[in-house]
Amino acid sequence: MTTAARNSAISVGLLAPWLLSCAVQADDYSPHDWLNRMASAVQSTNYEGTVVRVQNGKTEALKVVHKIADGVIHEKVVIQDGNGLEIIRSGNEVHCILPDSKSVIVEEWNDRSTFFSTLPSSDIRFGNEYDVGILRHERVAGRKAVLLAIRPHDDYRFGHRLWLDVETGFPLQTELFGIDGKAIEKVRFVDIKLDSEISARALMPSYSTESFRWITETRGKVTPVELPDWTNDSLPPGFQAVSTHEEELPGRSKHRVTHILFSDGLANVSVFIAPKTDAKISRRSRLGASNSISVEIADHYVTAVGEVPVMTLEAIAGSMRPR
Amino acid sequence: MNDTIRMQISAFIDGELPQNESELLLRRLCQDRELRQQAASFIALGRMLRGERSIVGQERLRARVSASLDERPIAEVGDPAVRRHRRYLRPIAGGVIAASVAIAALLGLRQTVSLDDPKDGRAAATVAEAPADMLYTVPSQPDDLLRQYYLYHGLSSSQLGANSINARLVNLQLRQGEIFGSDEATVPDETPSDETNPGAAASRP
Repeated sequence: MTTAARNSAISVGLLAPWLLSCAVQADDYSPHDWLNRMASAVQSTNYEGTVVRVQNGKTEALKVVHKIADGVIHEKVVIQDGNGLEIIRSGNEVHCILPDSKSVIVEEWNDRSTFFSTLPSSDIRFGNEYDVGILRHERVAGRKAVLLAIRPHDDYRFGHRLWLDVETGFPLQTELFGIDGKAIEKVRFVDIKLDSEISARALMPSYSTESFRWITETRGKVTPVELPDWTNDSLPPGFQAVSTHEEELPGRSKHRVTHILFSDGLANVSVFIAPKTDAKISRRSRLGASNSISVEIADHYVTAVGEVPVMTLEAIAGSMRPR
Repeated sequence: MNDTIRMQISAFIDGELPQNESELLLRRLCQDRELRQQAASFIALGRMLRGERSIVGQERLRARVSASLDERPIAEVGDPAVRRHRRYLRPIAGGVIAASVAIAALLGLRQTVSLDDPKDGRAAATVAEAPADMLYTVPSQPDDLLRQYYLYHGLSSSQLGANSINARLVNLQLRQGEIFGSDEATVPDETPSDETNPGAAASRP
């Protein structure tokens, strides 16, 4: 045996136990362990890369940078095609830069939400309506990933496929799929650097926004409601009301809207109930992975919006009743 | 049938087998009678364990296979290549139809979940039981109210931890439409909203 061959053999011999332990460790995680790892990774991992998002046959590329410094989330998302929209986030404050219209929208985001918080972290997640399983290992963006499938038990909700980085649990690719198994929306990193050093410059806007028009988006007054005037006792299995608010829509303060959020722990449906006015609302619409339907009940427009099949929206909106 | 094939069939039924592997599986089923029989037994067993009803009629299943095949890109009927190959296809057509029964069982099982699910009927009944004054509204053109509903749904969902990239981008695209529209639409009449560069996040990463 030559010296080189002998050295290689020694190296392999030394590495083998480590490689084996990595494999065993990855294989030891249960699907729920993987989801917990993912939840932790999206909150704590610094990353930058290119994301491809496919929705309704439309493909969009995004450059994404995410950094956490002193517990504060900093993010930058740049849409690569079209008009070069940019979203710059620092903590709760978000600037959406629209270069074509030379405008910046300033808004406030909930601190918990991040671009890749793909699954709810509420206690009711997964009830009895889904099962989650590990399918296989694949490579995404040049990294080894484990493919998880969250499959609904009925047709009232969509399923999810998640490709999680074996090393960190970070979601390298996510898919929302319909009843027929076909993807409704795909979000996939085509290249990614995890836990890389991210410079302050990488998080700066690409445009000088000094001459831009600045618009502050404020949400209308939102009041929690303890006992709503509307109820629903025929919800699809697993769905329950998680919050009810009276919303004052910007520019429409005379018309307060009751907003009830239903969730099965994974899929969310909002029901908006507004007094019937002359302003008509579309009966059915689709926007990305979201659907909406609107019906008239007891002189009110009842509009359901959510990332669920239309039949679920029909079942929920159609069974809303005034108390 | 080994475990690998069993897992492949299971993944195919669940719609989780990659396209290239699905094609390989279907090709293999077309060529392997014994495997088809084993697959059919496997499917029947699975359905029995789940308490599902038996597969309805072969014609229906064949129709599903046809429908499935129709989704694939095919050459135009008038294409000379198609005409040339048609005569070679005839002798094997019978075999393909026979094979299609087993394949149809797979495809049928994957696609009939909604048809066989009794919950569908429940949903329909729920809607049907709605009060008489529940009517579908007439679609309108610019739908500011609906845009706001999408927006607020996204905001509320992300507070539950839902995927916010979709909600955020959809919202941004909606707002972009507003921004590109008239000032009247951009600046709500009751909300003071225009400011001159307040300076903040965009300049302090």
